[in-house]
Amino acid sequence: MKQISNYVESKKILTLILVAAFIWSVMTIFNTDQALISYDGFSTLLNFLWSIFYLDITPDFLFICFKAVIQTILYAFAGLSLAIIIAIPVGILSSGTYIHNTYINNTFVVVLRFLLAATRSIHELVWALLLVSIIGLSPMVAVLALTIPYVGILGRIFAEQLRDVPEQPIRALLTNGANYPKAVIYGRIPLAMPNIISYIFYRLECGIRSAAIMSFIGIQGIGYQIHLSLLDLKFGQVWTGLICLTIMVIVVDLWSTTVRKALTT
Amino acid sequence: MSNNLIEVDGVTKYYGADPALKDVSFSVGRGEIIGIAGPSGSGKTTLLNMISGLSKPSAGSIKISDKDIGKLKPGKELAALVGMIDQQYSIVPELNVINNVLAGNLGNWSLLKSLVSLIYPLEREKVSLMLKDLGIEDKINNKAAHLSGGEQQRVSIARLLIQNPMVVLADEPVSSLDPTRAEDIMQLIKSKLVTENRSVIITLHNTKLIQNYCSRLIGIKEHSVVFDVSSDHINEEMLSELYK
Repeated sequence: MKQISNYVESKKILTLILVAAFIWSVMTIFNTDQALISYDGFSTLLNFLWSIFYLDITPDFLFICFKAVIQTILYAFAGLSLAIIIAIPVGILSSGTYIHNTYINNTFVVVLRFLLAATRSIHELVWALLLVSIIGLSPMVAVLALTIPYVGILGRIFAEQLRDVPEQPIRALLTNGANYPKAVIYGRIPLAMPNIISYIFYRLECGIRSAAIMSFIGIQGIGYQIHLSLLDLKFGQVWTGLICLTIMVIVVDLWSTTVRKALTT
Repeated sequence: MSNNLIEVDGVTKYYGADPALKDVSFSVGRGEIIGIAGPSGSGKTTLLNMISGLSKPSAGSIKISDKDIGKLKPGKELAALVGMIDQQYSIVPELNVINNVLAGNLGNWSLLKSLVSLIYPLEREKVSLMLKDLGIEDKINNKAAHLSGGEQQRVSIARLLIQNPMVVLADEPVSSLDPTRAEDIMQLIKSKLVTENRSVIITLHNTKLIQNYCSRLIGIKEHSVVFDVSSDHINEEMLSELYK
């Protein structure tokens, strides 16, 4: 009983701290010398909004946008595919279900989980900026900047899914003569497959959005086109680009939702 | 070499400080089918898990054909001694029937061969004959998840026939089936799995099934054996006392 009341007490204190932090952070906004809103921006904003009625739908520009959309999708596919290929073995080894020997197993689990956490704790955009300064503005940057954090994310999810399968079929396979590796390929992978595929599709959605944003830093793609038009103050083109980006994301979302639904029912 | 196939000697199992089994001893001869009964939580599944080699006794020893089960790791040697069939969750529902049956070969197959068979099932003819014998040959390519409870148990039996261990452990194999299906599966276990050299240990709750199919019944209550009698001597009172 005492434990429960302690728990409730500590929850109340935490709530108070969070509320105080919120109020404090709001106060700091008003505590600066700069104006909160730049009123000069209003005319540009109106100009921008008005441009939606002047979409650039010349065949030339539409073709440019189409090409850029395809490029973005290809980067996402390439980055994700590479991430899957690396994440499968890494995920299996870091799940702790593959190796009999406890010491070797624990070493793999600890080292790989640390590496996975490290790669995914840095956002793909940061990876992109880092890689641009190393490789330069090449498509490779877009692909690798997606691959590195996605290995971290997918590896962790694969490991979790492989660990969390129902125990009975695995126990049966072990008594039927399977060792751990064989129990992984005959039991854990098939049992976890629907969830894993569903998650990969979700990540594909995220990857396409990321690839689009990444191209704002100068890698070819739909984001790059929008950025160029924005620099030229051609708001009509910006709108066309944004609409293309939206359509692309919606189409991939729909496809992914359909596939995931089919898998889980 | 002793005449008994299984020797359970003074087996005790603790989970932390809590006992799951206390000083259990019994033996099983070749070709016997032994029932184990007892209320939930009495230690039946703990006992079967230890005989299967997947968990180790805290004290005492379990020998099958004079080999100490507690010293073996999952794999070929253990699979030659003991195999298991569960309530209905022994199979992998995502795999098709043939791969579920061929999983009985995993003790003998290399990792590569196992992988190849997953994509291109080997020994199709052998499995097909076996499934025909069990009355489900038309399901060979179906996903196991789409089979009924009784059919899934037939797949488990086929897998054990491929594995061919000396001891089969059946943990409540019929408790999720209706009485007719339960009778069918018990019939199959008795006719296909029990042989001159192979024994079956089975946990059951149904008095009639115990009387009809088991040669002996071991009653477990509060983590200890309370009786070990020939099934001719079993009556309703004994069982209702056991479950009280």
